Amino acid sequence: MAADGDTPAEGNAATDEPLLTVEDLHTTFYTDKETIRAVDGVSLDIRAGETVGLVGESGSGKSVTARSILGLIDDPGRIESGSIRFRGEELTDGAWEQNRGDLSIVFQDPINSMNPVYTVGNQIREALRIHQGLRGDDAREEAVELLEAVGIPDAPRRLGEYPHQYSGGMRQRAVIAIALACDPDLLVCDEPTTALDVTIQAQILELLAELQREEDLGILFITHDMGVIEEVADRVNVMYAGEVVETAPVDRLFDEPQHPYTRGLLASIPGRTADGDQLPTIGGEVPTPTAEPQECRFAPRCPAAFDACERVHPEPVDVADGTGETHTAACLLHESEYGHSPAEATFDPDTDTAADGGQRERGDRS
Amino acid sequence: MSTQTTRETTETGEALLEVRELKKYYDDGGLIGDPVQAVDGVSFDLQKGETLGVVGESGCGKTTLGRTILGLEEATGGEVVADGRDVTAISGSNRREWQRDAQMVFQDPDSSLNDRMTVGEIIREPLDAHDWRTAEARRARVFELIEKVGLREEHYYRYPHQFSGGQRQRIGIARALALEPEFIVLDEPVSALDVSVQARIINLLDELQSELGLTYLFIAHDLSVVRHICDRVAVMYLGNVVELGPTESVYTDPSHPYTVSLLSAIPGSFGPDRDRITLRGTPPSPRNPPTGCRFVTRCPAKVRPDEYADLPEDAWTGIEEFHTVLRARARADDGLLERLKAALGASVGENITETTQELFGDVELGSAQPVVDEAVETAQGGDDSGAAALVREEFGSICNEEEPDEYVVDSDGRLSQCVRHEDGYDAPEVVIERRLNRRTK
Repeated sequence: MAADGDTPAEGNAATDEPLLTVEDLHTTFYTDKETIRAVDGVSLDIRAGETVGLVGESGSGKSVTARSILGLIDDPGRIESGSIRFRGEELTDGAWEQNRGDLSIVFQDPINSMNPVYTVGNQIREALRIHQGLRGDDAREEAVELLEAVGIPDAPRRLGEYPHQYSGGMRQRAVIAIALACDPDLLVCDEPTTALDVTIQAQILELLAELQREEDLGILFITHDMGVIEEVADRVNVMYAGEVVETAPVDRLFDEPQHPYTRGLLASIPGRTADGDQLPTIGGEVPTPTAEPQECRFAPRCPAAFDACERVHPEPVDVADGTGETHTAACLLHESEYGHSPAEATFDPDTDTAADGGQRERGDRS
Repeated sequence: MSTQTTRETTETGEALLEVRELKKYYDDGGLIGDPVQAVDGVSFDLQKGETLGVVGESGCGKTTLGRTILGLEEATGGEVVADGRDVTAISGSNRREWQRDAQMVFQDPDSSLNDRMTVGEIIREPLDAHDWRTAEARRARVFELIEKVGLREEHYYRYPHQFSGGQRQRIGIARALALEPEFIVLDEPVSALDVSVQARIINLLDELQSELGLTYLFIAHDLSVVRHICDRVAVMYLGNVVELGPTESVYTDPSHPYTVSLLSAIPGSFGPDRDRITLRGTPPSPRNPPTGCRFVTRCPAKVRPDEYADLPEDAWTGIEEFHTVLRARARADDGLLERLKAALGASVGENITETTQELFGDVELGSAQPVVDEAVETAQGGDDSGAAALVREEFGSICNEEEPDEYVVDSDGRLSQCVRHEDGYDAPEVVIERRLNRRTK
């Protein structure tokens, strides 16, 4: 891609200096009814050329984390404390505007991320004008190149069409083209393939990987789909009720999940259990965090919870098991002083006590 | 392998439903344009007590198929036989009876439950509508259903918005069960749910099926869910069932090139252990499906004419893409606005040269060069459909001409609609493998 001119050396993977560092981020929403601590002490970092995954169920705070990083939190929400450093610069001091083009985001729903009354070409050219100062024929040429780079056939003609004339997958490609028109160093992808068919999802994931190779992009990839995470991410953060409960390299997370929540999530995905069996489940729902945690927020749903889980808030501990990798889990089962073993956290269908609020009597079967 | 067009019922089960050549076209009555061929000649049997999965990309007609079987859409052609009668052509009391026997659970519990009714009223509504027994019996039945789907008694008096997504889906399931149906169409019942909630709903559906002896038609785009819950699976593409067979054998050894590609797109270790075949573009419009095989425009195993056997893979990619572009342009030319523009002499053959350069840039076209050049020239002259026809004529094959028959491909009676199952052609998986290897070399 042509949009590569300005500062080539920054954030090079070799320097190992993170492109983005988030430390102890707290984002809180103040409503009349309650105070929601949507992001409650999240820390993560992303290097150039690396894809970092953020997974969790709805309501776990993934999207709020993404929006906090982009500076898109509006009233009644507020970044309460913590630090977000981009190439060493503190963004929470109000430095978002200067970095606007270097941080870019792709949302889940492409039709709502585009303006229906402008052609796709107009929208790409607008981004090119604002962020790269390109106008006229230069902008048009660059826009054609961008559309071609994201794999839209017949780009010169497609440039003159409106978003509704594009199919879903093509719209998401166009949104990615607009995001790239800013020439970003960090791309935040918030469920970019959730609304797409699996075949189109494969195309988009392939496209993102290719762009990453070419541009040395850092990508924060947010999704609830564990299969997608396994495919795209280098490292994964598992979020639960506003907190990161487990962090690990992707292979290790899937082979040896250490937090009970991660285990439950992986176990409840169909296709991994033997055919015909009931799926293992996690009872209950993700709670809405409203107060400072004095306990483990997963304890009410955890099959291995013990009394200390109700009064001690677990901090991330090293569970790398001497492998030298960065693998942490916030769970008291891993703290030897309590005398419990992580092996206690197993999931099977019969722990299904509080089926999302309802309760189903078993027995009239079998 | 032999051709077989008549279908026998598998020995094990008794057919609850026989769907034969079912068609549903939507004609929006516009000035121009053809009808949308949402379902175009689908046939299968549904055995009592089984779960048949229907998978495919959005727009392939899976939901329309379910709705047409239930009679929520009027069939354009074909029949659905249940208990010896064609349910697409019944009326009066017969129809009421069918509506009791066959129910549906919808994808989105937000929009399929009336927010102004209590849960009790929602579940009781079908009972009221069919004048089921006495008012007292209905009330008791509702409480029984609430318990059956894992909700609590006090939920009777609450409103849908007070429930989470998973609980709302339970309400939808209770409503579908109210009239003791034999058959339920589940239209993406878990797609809107988080994975842990999804697992519980899948378990519930499983339990209910064995308890009540239900037969499911399970429509989903999530391939792992289908693998878990379905006995057999039908793979749909552009209104047709291209492959139909027992779930495990379809997943472990897919026959049809589309099934191979679709399954290879499952991300991560949940997918099959084979090379990803990324399909180009999106399915063509069901208003204007390609002639011949429906999958021909994206097929990784398409039969190629012998005279171009030596053409490298990237040349074929370019040619197929070029054909798709021309088709899309020809289609757009049909639009009212484009016709007006053409009449006024504007926008003829715009930018096709630039597009061609992008497609064929440094590709060695060899013997295909003259025809491609001719097509480009035709398109420049403003005749996109002429150019498309030229490409199709020269580089097309039996796949572009004939709709493939249905072939029985294994001892389980698995069916696949692909001409490559005919003697004298290499099997789809062999061809796909060979072309992948050629590409990476």
